[in-house]
Formats: sequence, structure tokens, C-alpha cells
Amino acid sequence: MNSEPISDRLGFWRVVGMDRHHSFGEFVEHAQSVTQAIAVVGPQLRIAQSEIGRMKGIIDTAATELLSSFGEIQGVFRAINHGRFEAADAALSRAMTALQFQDMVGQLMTGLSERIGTATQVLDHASSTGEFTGQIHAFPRQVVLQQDVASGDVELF
Amino acid sequence: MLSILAVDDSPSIRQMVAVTLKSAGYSVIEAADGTEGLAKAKEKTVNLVLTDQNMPLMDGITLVKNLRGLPMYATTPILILTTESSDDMKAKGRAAGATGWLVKPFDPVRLVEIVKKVIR
Repeated sequence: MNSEPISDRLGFWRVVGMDRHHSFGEFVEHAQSVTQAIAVVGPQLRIAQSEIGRMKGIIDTAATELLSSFGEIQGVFRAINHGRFEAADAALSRAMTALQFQDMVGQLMTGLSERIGTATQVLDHASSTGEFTGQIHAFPRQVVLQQDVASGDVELF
Repeated sequence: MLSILAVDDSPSIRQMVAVTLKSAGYSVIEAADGTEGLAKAKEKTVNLVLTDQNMPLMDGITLVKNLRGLPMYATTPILILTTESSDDMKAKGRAAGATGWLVKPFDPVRLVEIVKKVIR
């Protein structure tokens, strides 16, 4: 028969970040501190998530407008100059490549927002039930790995 | 006029692809996700499909698999244009029947060159 206290067998002390030699009073104090910390951090994470959404909206609107303007300018250049302004055409192409930062940053922000949302759910759950269920929450996969806005690789199969 | 179906959930990328390909003389049909893309591809047979990978409702690789199951798209070039650059995802795209994998951001001039190279 296992002589270990049930709290040790369930890994209780490891989960609460303490060891078994602490008194019950110390544990209660520790748990109250954790709950208070969650109560302070949780709303801040929600605000951060909301602000990410607002940033994404501003960038999306601005980039869509800029892309539209650049596209129209490029079309006009091509129509009236018949390739005589190659330098301007190339500059516009580079600008249109760089403006795709909006798509990459947008995806990064979506991933970040989902990550914060999931973390908030974990904290909320821990705060209300005292249980840590981090393992059962699905954090998002990293989709964007590029470090800059240089045009990406092309591979034909 | 050769026609291209551009599928992307980002309106700005769709717009940019459309502007680039239209100025190169192609007709462009736009769709916001794989489900809409599949419906539009069935509605009108196009000469090339250019699709994003990560989209709501249906992703790009699933769209490729669905299109390859249709007789009229058995040999049509299908390019995946995405921010995804992992070898694992590229292998999945290739196995699904994609013709090529283009990592965003794309250079408009290079995109037109690639389209000219593979379109039928």
C-alpha cells in the first residue's frame, strides 16, 4: 500500500508551486496571492486582446487603401507610358510587396490574440475552480515564420 | 481571355492579386475562402487557381484535393500562395496535387512570370 499522502501522489504541491513542508496557513496565503494575481492579470489580458483587435483593424484598413491606390497608380503608369517608366513600375512593385506586411502582421496578431484568449481562459478556470487545466486548452500553431517582408520563395512541383 | 480564380480571405491580398493579374491581361474571379472558391470553380471552369492556405471554412490544401477530384480540374495548374513556409506543409500541398508553392509576400512581377509559365 502506498504510504505517501494523497496530496503527494496527486502532485498537488507541484501544481500549486510549493513543497509539502509548507503549513496549511502558508498554502492558503499562497493560494490567495495567486487568486489575487489572476484577478489583476486577467482583465489586463482581455484589454491587450481587444487592443490587438483594434490595431489589426487600423492596419487592415490603411493597407487595403494603400494597396488600392498603388494598384491604380501602377495601372495608370502602364496605360499611359507603355513601359517607358520602368523604374517607377519597379518601385511600385516593391511597394506592393512591402505592403503585404499587413497580411503577415495580421496573421501574427490573430495568433497572438488567440494565445492570450486561451491563456485568459486557463487563468479564469484556475481562479474559479482552483484547477489547472492548461493541457486541455489548444494554443494556436505558429503560422508566420518569416522575419521580414522580402518576397518569399517559389517552388514549382 | 485566360481566367484565374484567386482565393484568399484577406481582402487586400485578393485585391492585390487581382490588380496584378488583370494588368497582365488575365480575367480574375475572386473568392474569400475554400468553400466559395470551390463553388465558383464549379460555376465557371478557370485556367488557373491561385489559393491561400489558411482560410476559414475550407483551407487551401482541402480546396486542391476537392478540385483534383473534379474531371475539369484534373490537370489545371493550382498554385498555393501563403505565409506558410514549412517543408511539412509544402509536402502536404504537393501530395494534394498542387502545382507550386509560393510564399508571401509575393513580388507582383514574379507572380506574373510564374503564372505565364504554368497557365494553360
